[in-house]
Amino acid sequence: MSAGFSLLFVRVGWRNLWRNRGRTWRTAASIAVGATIVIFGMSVQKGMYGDMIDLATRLGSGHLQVQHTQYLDDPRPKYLISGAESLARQMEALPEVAATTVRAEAFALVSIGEKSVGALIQGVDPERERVVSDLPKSLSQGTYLAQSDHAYVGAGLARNLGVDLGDEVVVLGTGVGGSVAAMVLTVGGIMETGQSAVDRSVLQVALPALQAAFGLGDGGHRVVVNLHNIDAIDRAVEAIQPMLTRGSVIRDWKVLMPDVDQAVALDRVMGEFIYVILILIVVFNIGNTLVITILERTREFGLLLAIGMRPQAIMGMIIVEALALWLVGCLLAWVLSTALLAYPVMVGIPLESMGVEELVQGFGIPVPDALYGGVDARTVLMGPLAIGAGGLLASMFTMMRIWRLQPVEALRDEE
Amino acid sequence: MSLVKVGQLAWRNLWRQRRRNVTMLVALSFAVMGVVFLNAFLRGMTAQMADSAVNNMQGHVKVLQPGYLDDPGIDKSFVLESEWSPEIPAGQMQGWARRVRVPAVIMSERETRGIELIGIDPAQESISFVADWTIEGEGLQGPDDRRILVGKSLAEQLETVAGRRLVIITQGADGRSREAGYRIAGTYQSEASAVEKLYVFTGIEAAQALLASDAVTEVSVRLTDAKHQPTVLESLIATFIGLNVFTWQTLEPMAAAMMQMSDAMIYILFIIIMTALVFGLVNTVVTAIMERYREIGMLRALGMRAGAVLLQIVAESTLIMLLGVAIGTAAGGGLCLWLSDGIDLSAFAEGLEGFGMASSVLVPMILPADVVFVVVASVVMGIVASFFPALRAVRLNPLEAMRH
Repeated sequence: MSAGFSLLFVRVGWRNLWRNRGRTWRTAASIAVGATIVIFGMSVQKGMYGDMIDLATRLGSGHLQVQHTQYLDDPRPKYLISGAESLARQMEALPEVAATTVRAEAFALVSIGEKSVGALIQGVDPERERVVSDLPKSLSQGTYLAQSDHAYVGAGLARNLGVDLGDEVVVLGTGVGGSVAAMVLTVGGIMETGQSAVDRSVLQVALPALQAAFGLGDGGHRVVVNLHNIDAIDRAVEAIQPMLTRGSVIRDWKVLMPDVDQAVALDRVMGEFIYVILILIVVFNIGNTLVITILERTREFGLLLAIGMRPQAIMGMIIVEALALWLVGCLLAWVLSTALLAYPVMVGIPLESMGVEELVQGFGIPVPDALYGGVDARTVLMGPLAIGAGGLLASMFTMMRIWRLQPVEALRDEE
Repeated sequence: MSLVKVGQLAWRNLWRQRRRNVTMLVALSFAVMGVVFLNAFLRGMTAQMADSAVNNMQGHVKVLQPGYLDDPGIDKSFVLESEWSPEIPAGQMQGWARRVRVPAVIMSERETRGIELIGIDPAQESISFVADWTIEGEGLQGPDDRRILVGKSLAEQLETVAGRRLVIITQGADGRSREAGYRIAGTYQSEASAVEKLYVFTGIEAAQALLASDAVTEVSVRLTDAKHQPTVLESLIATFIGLNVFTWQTLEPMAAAMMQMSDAMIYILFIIIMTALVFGLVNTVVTAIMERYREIGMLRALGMRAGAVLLQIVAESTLIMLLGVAIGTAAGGGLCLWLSDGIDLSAFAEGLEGFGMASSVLVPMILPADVVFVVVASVVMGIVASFFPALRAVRLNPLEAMRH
């Protein structure tokens, strides 16, 4: 094909678009609306899926944790990360990392008078804990570790012990070297998470108090890391790896919460299913629109054939037209979906309006107030690309009959 | 022009322009089929979420001694009469189970772990996920079975296998510590390793013997349909005065909140999908009519009145819409029926293979109300969509329209 020839059908195609402006805008608009629906649907779905991980990691695990290699399977106090605080500070300097905190843990007996109950004692840094986890938000009475000798007690545990705000409890456990570890604490706050397993077994204290009582030095058991963007998790792990000393390991939320990982994986498959059907509906529809439009132009093609245009040139002309329509449609779609998504991405769709709040209140469950949209290359490109491919295929397939078309018959075509 | 004539003309037109109409019909049926199926898929998804909470030994309604949740133990128990069974109308209840659940410590020669010891009557556990598990070795044979069933992950941690013995220590009804040796009947594999590490099962009578008690710690009732929950809750509250009667939503507020959240998501997704459907219908119908300006101009030029042309075009769209919706609904319903054994999602994703069957298989669920909504919305939207471009077409000067 010579350059002049190819320019010809590009020119004819271009002119055709301008000649029948009504049809051009209509088709471009339907491509735009179709693509917008897919982009919007995928972004909303992606946002929801992001919320689920966020919600779960905010229950305490964080996105990443540095632990002793043994600690996950066998949580004993001796499996420590020493120099945890400096490691946390070092990690905080990474661009991917949003926040870190150090936690130490020990199982111990909590007693008041004659009554004793076993509990998981967590030593935390109150200020940083607030940023990383939602447990401080589950405060139902009192304050969150306002003083260094305060305890933040699960509501169930408090009921079992029969303690109230201001009561003094004694914590007795075994320190690292096998020594007796003891603490006297004042109940400063009570938490109600709605998860009975947490409420009946967790007691938080200030980290230094736990470190001193259990002989942990400057060590912690979990260095919790939260990222700005969970999609950057692999890069963050790679950057953190060289900072680790022997015997410590970095674990992501999938390892820390396999059940949530499975639920998310399942959710993602279902999401994919929904995308596929949504895209199929839209692509099929736009393909159909293009097919009808092409079928209506049989007469025009007959005329072009009659005055000597080659079938492949007509095919080329249709492809040029389709591509131009697609491009215009996509540009419109991106503008439209940016406008549509601005609200859910920035502000969120309030869950309250959908009756969720009702249940959340009274339990202090950290459910987000709103659903947020999530946007990435996939959500923005997948719909337009599928529509482009589907539309082009449908057009080309319909145009195949141009080779069999008899100009005279085509000119008589009524449709 | 009479309505019969209009209908006749419309019908003939449909046949005359077979090429265009078949394309339209295929697109319409496909969109309706997709929506019917997707809707059933989403409904199946929420139903399954509720199911997994109910399955997780909760049942729809559960009876507990006050204080059990904060401090579980045999001291927070109640006695059931020997022949007791819940007074719930037949057809509303799928089954019920009585259980003894107490915290305990389990020991092998090498390791010690904290667990929950659950005494069950295996015949009653068809209401929970216990019935779905694959068991290596043997399952429990009856309420008096003195052997134990442990999770596969726990068995690995304890470095033991079926046939070996383990020691269980717990607190008896008198507050004193009790221990006994148990032979492992088999190991079970569940969906979540957390479950496998926590739950150890034995016959309920064997558990009561260990605890020196004839009481149970819970009665769990599973219904045939969640809609009976409020009435059953009330009737059980009236029966068990002084005890706590809870729904699974109260017992697992986190799961219930998650489910409400996903319900909200499904609501949004449904709106998006309906938008896609309506857009598809409108787009198809409008395109088809816009391409017919010439024909419409011709009819007008021949002297057909504007109202009649309008009526004829709307009648045509309605016919094709009805046909498309009928085929689409039938095809969508057929698809759901064909997949009524469930769609195994694990085939589509890595990392789900190790997952128990029950929760990665999704059964689409068709709700008649949803289908009616889709059908009515499609037909109405189709008619409205055809009306306006047709109105514009008949308003044009016939000559102008013919030049189109």
